[in-house]
Amino acid sequence: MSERLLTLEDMQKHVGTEAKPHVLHVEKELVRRFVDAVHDPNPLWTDEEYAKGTRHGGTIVPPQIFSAIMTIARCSPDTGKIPIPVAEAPLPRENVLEGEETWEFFTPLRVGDVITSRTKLTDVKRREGRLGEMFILVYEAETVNQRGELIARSTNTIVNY
Amino acid sequence: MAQKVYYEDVTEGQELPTLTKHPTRRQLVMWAGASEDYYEIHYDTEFARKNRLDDVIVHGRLKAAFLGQLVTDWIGPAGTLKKMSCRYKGTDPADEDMRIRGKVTSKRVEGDEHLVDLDIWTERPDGTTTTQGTAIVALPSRGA
Repeated sequence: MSERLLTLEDMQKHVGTEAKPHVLHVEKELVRRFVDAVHDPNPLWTDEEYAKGTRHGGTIVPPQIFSAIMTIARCSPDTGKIPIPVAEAPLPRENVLEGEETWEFFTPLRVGDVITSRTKLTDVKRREGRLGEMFILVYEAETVNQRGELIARSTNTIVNY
Repeated sequence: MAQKVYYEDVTEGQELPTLTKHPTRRQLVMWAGASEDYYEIHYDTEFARKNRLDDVIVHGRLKAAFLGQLVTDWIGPAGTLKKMSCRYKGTDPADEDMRIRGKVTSKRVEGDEHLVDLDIWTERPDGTTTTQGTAIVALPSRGA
């Protein structure tokens, strides 16, 4: 294996690479672990009695759970491995910081849904920043439920240095 | 929890009720479990230092979840969070207060939707903004 560091030109060949679709069963315990970790007591997420009286007719999953799901969708259970959105495309450097993200929400997510996310590397840039040489990688994802309804669309930028 | 906010009640420049958090290392570990983000910069001081950080830092996405909580608390069960963006501008150490804040920047009716644009951000105790974002929500209308 070559010791040469990957360049911007090397990385541009990987733009368009798509991760294997990620399937997630949205279980009650997933939601509980999320709201416990955030300390978010909103009864719309977990209290069926309360939620029945709302226009949703039952609990919905907090849309912001996508901030957690995006990481879960990155199959990297090994210690020491950095969770990256598209494991099929390499990272040119060793360290990762989260840069920026956008989520658009469509059909509300419900417990019991089985969702599929498709994520693609859509852009790579290189620049000098406070941490020295940095690569900016942009990933886009779309998530649908078991009926094919669009749940969320997201864009995620990471800083690799 | 009855609906507290309607489109007609909202004014530009209005601030959302501030949410105060104090993410401890324990909470970061809970987030690591919930999100399966086991990157060591969030719980291993030595590892964080090797990554040119002073100590462990709060996960960016935990801050995004806090921003989501700020907004969904405010819009209530009849509101809809349609879009949320955030940029992680600075790092936050564990075990200090974090204020999660928001402000109305504009409101508009599009089709049958009553939309409100928000600036949302997180602050350290010295007032430094470490996460800067925006959100679009739909609110119920008293006329509807």
